Amino acid sequence: MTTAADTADTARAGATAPSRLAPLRRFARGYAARPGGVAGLAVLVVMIAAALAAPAFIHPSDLDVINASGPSLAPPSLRYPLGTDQPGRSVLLLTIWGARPSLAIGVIATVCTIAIGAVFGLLAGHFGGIVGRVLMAVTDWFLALPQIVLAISLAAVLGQGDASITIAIAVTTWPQTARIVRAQTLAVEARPFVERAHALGAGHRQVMIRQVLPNVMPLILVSSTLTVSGAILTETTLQFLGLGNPTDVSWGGMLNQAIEQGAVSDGAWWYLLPPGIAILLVVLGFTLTGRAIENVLNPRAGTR
Amino acid sequence: MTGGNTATNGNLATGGNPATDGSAAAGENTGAGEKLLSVRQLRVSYRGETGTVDAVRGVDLSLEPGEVLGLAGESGSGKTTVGLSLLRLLPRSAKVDGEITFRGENLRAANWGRIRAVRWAGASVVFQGAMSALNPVQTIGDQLVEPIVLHSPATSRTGARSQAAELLESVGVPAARRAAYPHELSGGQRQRVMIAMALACQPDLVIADEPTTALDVIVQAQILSLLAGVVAERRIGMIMVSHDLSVLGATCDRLAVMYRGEFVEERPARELIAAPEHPYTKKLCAAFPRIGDQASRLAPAGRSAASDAPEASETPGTPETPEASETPEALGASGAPRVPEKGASPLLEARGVRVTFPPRSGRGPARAVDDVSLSVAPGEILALIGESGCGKSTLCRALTGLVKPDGGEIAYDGAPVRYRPGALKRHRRNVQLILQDPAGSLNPRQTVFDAVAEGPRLHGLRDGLTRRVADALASAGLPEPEQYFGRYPHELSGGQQQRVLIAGALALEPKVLVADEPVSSLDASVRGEILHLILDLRARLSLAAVIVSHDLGLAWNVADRVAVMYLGRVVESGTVEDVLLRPEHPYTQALVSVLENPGERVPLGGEPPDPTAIPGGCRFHPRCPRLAALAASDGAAAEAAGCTVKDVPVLTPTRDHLVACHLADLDPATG
Ligand SMILES: Nc1ncnc2c1ncn2[C@@H]1O[C@H](COP(=O)(O)OP(=O)(O)O)[C@@H](O)[C@H]1O
Ligand code: SF4
Ligand SMILES: [Mg+2]
Repeated sequence: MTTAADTADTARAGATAPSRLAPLRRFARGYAARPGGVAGLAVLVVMIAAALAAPAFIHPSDLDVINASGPSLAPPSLRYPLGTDQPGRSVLLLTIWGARPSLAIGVIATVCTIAIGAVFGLLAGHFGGIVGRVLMAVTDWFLALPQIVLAISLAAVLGQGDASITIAIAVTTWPQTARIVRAQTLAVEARPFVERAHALGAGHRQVMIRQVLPNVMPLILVSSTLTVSGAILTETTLQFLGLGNPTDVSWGGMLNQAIEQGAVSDGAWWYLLPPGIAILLVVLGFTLTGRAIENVLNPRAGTR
Repeated sequence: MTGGNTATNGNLATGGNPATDGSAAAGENTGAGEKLLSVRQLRVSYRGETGTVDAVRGVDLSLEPGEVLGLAGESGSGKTTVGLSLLRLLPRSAKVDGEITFRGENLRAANWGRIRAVRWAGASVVFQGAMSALNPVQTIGDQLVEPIVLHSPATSRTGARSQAAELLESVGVPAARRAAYPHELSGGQRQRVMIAMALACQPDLVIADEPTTALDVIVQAQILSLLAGVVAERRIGMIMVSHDLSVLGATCDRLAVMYRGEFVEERPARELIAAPEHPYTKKLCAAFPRIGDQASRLAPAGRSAASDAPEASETPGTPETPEASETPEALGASGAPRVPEKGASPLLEARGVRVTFPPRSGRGPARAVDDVSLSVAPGEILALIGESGCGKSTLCRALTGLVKPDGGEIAYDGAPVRYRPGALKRHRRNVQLILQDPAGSLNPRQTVFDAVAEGPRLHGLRDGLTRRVADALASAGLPEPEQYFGRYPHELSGGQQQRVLIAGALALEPKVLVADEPVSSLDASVRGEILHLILDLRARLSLAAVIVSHDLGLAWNVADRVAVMYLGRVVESGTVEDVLLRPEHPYTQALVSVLENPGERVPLGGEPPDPTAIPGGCRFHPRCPRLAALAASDGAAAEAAGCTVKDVPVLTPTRDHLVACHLADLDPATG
């Protein structure tokens, strides 16, 4: 929490200003030494890049059911490397496009989850007593909410679509984050440097933000990568169940349509496999990345 | 100790292979005059991220049955590595070279199965942290039965149970306690259980790694005399590892001083301590104060030990800087005893302070601090002495406003502290706290700059922050402070960490420093440096201090006045000379006698007191040797003294020598 003034001050005194980059560099070196993490990150980078660049090479008409020009349920060929679906669209293009809602919903839901969960966990851990107990009771109540049922009810109220799915995921996953953050907060608060901060004159807010949060942050980071993969899985499930916008292209929706359009009975494996493998890869990518981050930040976790 | 040791302990439990007991080997090799253990040219290096560290560089040692060899040295000198390498208890990154012969058998060449067998049957280890080495979810009785049954399967479980009970009794733990879980025992009792476990399979060799380090002086004396008794009675060999020369001097026959992975001196213990020859040994000896030695009064030793032997106590891989910084004139000033003029109005006061913790898990409320008054004047240093659990830390927290007393009040400059956020924050600018554990008191994710700047930022002192931080670090004895700005706590040595914490307090320009065990986790030479620093700050800044410790020697080194606490009350107080040279309370006398001749006799029996069950009358009476002596010689007079029924007066410490005892020769304090 160094302000600009402090930094300038430091520079003026001719001091070797504490390099904020040194820990980052150390982290990068540790991360690079973990092949699993590097592979996971590579998968994610490729997928995210493809999803972001998709509008540059995929025209909306390519995804249009009505204007589709290809043959129906054709196996892979040079023109359609992953074959076509029933209306005659390229499965390759559909799969690339399908990454967009999955990643977007996964990331947005995770950001919400982490934000709510971190605030609740931090507050519940810092303020014991009544406040903490009430916060934990609320958390437990949300923890007991069934995800699918909530999503279906939300779809009924808000209408089908990405917003319902995002809210359903965020509302049902933040309590887990809150519990993790609370446990870590309790552990950090028991350490003497927190008492030192109190003795220096720090209030609740300052202790939470300056002492506890930086020590809980690595855990939040790790937990968020795992939350993203969980959220993406949930998102595809909900899309598969038809809670998304039916005209959008998504992996879950593709699987849904593949089954409805008889891909299984026709032996059209090229329609079923690509979205399935894509889901697997993105989840694996996030999980590997999370594990690698965890191991770099806490070397002991890796050796057990 | 670390999880690593707990893990190896787990190995021990499963690894005992009774079939390969090796008693035959014992029979032929522990005959008269035969060596129990001999080690030649032992070398150990650790592979780390920053390269290899040579922890042990060619050590020779030998041990006969019934002999105790002490390994002394500061942290990082390699003494634990030597002890653990004998039984291959080192982590995998360690590379061991040399010859280790135990009962005639070459352990270096032995396979793992053999090592496991030796670990149980032949040699065992007593670790420092009994809490982490014991299994928290098993009763101590069960933990003792386990190795006995594993070791000799012929023993029935009931037989093993009665053996376990006997073992517990033999180490001074009532057999009735065998159903207790580790956390239900006191630190001393846990250490006794660890010793019982080490003895369970009747080993020929016991390696004790800092067996008493975390314990109070009196408990420490009890454990040491227990260990000495065990060695004499069972004629086993023992290697005792410690950083504390007085502990080793009391129990060991021979003493080896380690410095940078080598033995610099190895001689009979008494000789070595009486007339150390190697300069490093000299410094190590000087670091332990002798009460009554005028040369060390208000002049703690050990400062120069650091300049000669810096890396012994430093983190490997950290670029080194000289730690000592005092200018000659500052030294001169701090060397001279400084007596605040009589009647100087007190700066920080506790007036009849009581702190009671609410009942927990079936026990009554803990009266941790029970009617304590004390005061410090500007520039005065008060030492508060007592064993763990007597309420010292709680009193520190009350003095700094971290806990609100349920009775009495804290006053600064005559005005009672009020417990509203603004008022408290003002109080904390004047009264700063230094905590016991320097490593834990620094946020691992804050740089030194941020750690020191924390206080000023909280108090809105943002102008010239860099200057302020640099000045505070320099004042705390870290020259060229800028080079420390960007460092993280783990990149500092223990002494440097404590200096950073002191700097963090100084950055607020406080008038009083309350320090809770400021040196108890530091090496001997660093201890001296930090105590010097406190004296220096008092001389330069007229800083007053309340220093809490279980160590009377610290009072002798730095304090003007001393108050001795027992079970939430002050039992004796006065000037350091009065209290330490002419102790009147039997408890103080016990503490002083432990320091004067450690381990020679145990001055006090019984367990450290429990603030949830404070005895009536004089609260020291269940353990009081003076009362016991009187009762033995003249029962009626003991009865008449009323120790068990009549409360002793509550002291309000001043410079006068006050004693809260019905049988003290001094006039007991009145009112
Ligand atoms: N937060 C707490 N809750 C309950 N009991 C406590 C708490 N802190 C300390 N105690 C008890 O108060 C007594 C005094 O503790 P403390 O002040 O830490 O003593 P010391 O510093 O002399 O070792 C101990 O018996 C301890 O168990
Ligand atoms: S009053 Fe009695 S019991 Fe207490 S210390 Fe004095 S002699 Fe011992
Ligand atoms: Mg304490």
